[in-house]
Amino acid sequence: MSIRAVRIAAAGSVALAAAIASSFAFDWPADSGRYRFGFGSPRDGFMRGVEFGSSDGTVRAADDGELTFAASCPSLPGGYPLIGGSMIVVAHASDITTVYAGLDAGSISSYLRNVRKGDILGRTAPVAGPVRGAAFYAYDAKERRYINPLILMPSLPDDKPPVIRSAVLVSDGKETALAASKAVRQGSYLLLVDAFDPSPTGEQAAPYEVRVMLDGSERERVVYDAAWAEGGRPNLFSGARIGEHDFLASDGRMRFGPYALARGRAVISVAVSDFAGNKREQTYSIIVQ
Amino acid sequence: MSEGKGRRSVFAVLVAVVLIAVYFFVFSEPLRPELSAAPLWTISLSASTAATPPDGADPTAVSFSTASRFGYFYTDGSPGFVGEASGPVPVSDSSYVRAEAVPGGVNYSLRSPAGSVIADLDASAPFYSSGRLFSAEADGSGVAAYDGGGNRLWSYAFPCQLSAFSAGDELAVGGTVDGWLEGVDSAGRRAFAFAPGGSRLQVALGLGVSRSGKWIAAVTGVDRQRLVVLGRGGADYRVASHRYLESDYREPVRVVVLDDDRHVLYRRPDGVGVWSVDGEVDELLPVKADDFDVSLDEERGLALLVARRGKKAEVVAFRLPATLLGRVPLPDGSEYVRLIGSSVYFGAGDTISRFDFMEE
Repeated sequence: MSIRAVRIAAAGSVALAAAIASSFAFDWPADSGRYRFGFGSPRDGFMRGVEFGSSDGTVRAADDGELTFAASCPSLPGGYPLIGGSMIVVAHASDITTVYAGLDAGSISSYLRNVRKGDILGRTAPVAGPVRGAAFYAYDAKERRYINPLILMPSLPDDKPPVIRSAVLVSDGKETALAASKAVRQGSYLLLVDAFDPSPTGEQAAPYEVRVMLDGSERERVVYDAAWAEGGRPNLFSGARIGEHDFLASDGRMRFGPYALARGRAVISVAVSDFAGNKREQTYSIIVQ
Repeated sequence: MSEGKGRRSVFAVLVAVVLIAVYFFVFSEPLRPELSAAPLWTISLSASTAATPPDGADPTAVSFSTASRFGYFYTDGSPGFVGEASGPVPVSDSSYVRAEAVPGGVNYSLRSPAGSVIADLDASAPFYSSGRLFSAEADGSGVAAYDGGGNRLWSYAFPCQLSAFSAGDELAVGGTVDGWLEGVDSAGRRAFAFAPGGSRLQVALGLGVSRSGKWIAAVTGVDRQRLVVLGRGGADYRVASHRYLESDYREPVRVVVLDDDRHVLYRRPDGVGVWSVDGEVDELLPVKADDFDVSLDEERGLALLVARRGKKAEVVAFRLPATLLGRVPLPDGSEYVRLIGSSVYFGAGDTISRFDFMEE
């Protein structure tokens, strides 16, 4: 088992690590320097893949496989829109299916059948403002869940730690910013964390791991490794298994708790790491009255 | 000897005459009345742009959408509200969705055929299917449904991206890139989940849901491809019939379950396949099409099919299961074709025209 698989196993998902250990042959499908948003970035919901900018433009197969679906049209026959106007699906021997979406309309190599790693599948579409760029998804067809593509791809050089923009306690809809407050009333609180990891293009992408500690003991830990749906409900993180709507607030902040805060001093720490291991930790000490 | 031979010949001739007579009087079909396509009207869309929007819903209003225009006309040939568009606009006979670019995104509003705002729409990518308003999730792996007032009724997350989708009056079904079919009822609950399997690689390529929600037909898999029909039995759906196909599609495939709750039409390399939900009918309509749509005039026993290949389109009249009655080519580049009963509405450029199939 590779060091990376050991790290993933330690993070809480042995089964996922085992499945992934055989899949490290994947290559970045586009210029990794144009990687804008990663797995878990709030992009009108929890992003289940990675999104690229439009610099070089070539999108290539991440590994050997077989093309099972290719479409370049505004919508599927039943009217369902194809986001970005195109989609290519490649099935790989490792039970991983890769999905390439939002490629430039008319550029996709729909004639391919057997796909070799590096084969050109199409070109990225121009990206501006809120418009999504080409997106890449890694889907474990056996377990029926998305895997964070960072786990499967060659490592990216990254020495920038994540940023913790804010942490607030919420009770009865009232928010109390931890950085500005020294005291709160006793009671049950949700913790909303606004944190991100700068992507190679400088966008605010998601981190890989977030830990919340209360008075020195770990209360919650989420690892951005997998996402899946069950019975129509989206779920996140193979270890923590949290509903997406319970975790991700509509403004993109992460929701933890609730935590019962009793009278006295409370020390809340939030530690955020990226996939390269860069870490940022913030500790807040408050008086609970 | 030769006398006996002669008697046998006379007898054989008599038998043949009797058989032919029996065939004509017993097995012959009456001659079908002549089927003709009668042009009714043509209207100019640009001329109707300034038309006063009609008030209220009108059952004869028909929606249309082309690359540059969208709006409504009436079955009698009078124009309704026509708007300019820079691309396809989601539109149905009872409402349409207007998109407005704002800093950081797009705002959608639901509007009446008269153009008035019904509600602002909280949606990622709105679309209509079978007249119902839905929205696709931003990554293509979910769907949300709305009522006529633009209120979000439910949302449903599929395990992965959809490669096929169809809706009936009460049921919506998504086909996924890993080959599963999942149905969602009118309350947003999972009605069923089914993996047809039986192929080397799993993928849903196309599916159709009957308006009643009783039948679902899907083309799935690679090596070999399958047509599978599911029927509702009690609270669940079960395989009613299936067949392996000769096709090797790796792209969206049109599948339609007709409103008669019996016939399934699906794309084949050699034409349009006609199948019955119980598997008793397996016919071919010799009409090659990359995509098609179909309507059924049950009263007259007439079905119309618009077949598209590249920029070419033709309308084919047939009787079920696969008796071809006639075909009418449409002008090249006809962006809009709508079939309602035995009527054909089509648009090319700035005009929309209507012709009806009539029996004389």
